[in-house]
Amino acid sequence: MQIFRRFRHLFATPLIAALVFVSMPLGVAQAGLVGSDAVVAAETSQANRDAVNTFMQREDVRGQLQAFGVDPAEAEQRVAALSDAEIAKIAGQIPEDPAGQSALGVVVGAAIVIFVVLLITDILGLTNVFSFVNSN
Amino acid sequence: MAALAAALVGCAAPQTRQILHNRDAADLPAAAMNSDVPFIAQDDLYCGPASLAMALGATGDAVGQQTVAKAIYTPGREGTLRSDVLAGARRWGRLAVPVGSLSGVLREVAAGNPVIVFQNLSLPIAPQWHFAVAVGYDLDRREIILHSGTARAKRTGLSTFEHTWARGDHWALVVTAPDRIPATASETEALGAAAALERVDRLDAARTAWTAVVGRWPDSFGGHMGLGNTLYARGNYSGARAAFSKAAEIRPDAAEAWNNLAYALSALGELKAAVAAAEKAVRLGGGAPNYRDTLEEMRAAAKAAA
Repeated sequence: MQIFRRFRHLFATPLIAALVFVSMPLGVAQAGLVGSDAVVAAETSQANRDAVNTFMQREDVRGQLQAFGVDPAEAEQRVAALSDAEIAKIAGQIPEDPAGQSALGVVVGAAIVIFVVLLITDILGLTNVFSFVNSN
Repeated sequence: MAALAAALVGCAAPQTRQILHNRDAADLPAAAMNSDVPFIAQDDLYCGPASLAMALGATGDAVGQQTVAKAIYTPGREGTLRSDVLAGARRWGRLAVPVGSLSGVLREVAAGNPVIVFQNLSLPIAPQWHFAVAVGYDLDRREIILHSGTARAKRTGLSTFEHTWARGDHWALVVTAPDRIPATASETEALGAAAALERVDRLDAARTAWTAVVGRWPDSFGGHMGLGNTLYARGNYSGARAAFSKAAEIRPDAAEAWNNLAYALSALGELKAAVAAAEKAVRLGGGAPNYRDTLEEMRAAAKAAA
């Protein structure tokens, strides 16, 4: 798994940033207004989910899931049920285009696709590849 | 010569190799140098404070490294935590966004922004942690230029830099004045950076930042909500009303927008409209109790004034 460790470090920073942000307590609202922290937490969570869903629509990702014996449609359903923190973990590993566009337009290396797919299957409990993913 | 160049690039660190091999795809200027980033020679053990002081000096009022150190340095660890560098930048009212890729670092430098980088200058088993500030680069010479330690504008091989940077888990932080969104920041990252300014009570900087966010992303729901919140906090209720109205226009089914709009309307004395907005929030709010509380408050105010 050396190759995965090397790529993991490429995206550790956005992952850490995403995780730190998602795990912060929601901002205290002033006089009943919904605070900016709460709004941004919801936006971040949604942006992460969009990134993961877009990723899972890719031909090469679906092909890779199948190669690992996982039904892509089934995986999609289960991913939809993941927590914000778990989604943030996956989204943090999907390379983002500097202009902030979705990962669909970005050329993503095959190794990165394999890595993220395995991360997803690990979190879903279908595989047990990475020690840093807590298995139930 | 081309073969030699290819061989040399072949020994390069992975991201360096990627950038140098695909100069067109990387879409970076061949060289950049930000001479307006002040050089501050670090005092003993103060590479973190000195680096943040340099970033602050480049993006607003200057702050000395001793003052910065009081806020961010951890004496027990004889060093500075990365999270404290981030928090420190925000406490001084700057936008601070992590940058995770080498091309991102170079892109920020090309845009004129200082980037604080974290390196392990030694071996993994005996690390020598170090903060420096990236102020320039030269792709033809394959170099990055850092204000580092007591060396001003020190030129380092890009590949060597990447290796030391990788050992620090590729940590880098771009720092900008609040009216300027970092070049590589996504909307989500910019929202987080602006919200952080509110959180540390730098409300003027936050308002400036939110204004910059909606300038860059005119349809940003989060941006208009943040702008509305900071304007409201400053007592600018008509500004808040405009911002929350815009947010509600972008997302008509967002209960938060109608809820906050109710408060702005109420503060402006438009009590009936405030009740209507609060009712909308309740209808859209999926049963969340705070919207009901808002509606009670608005109804009570309208009744008292009647």
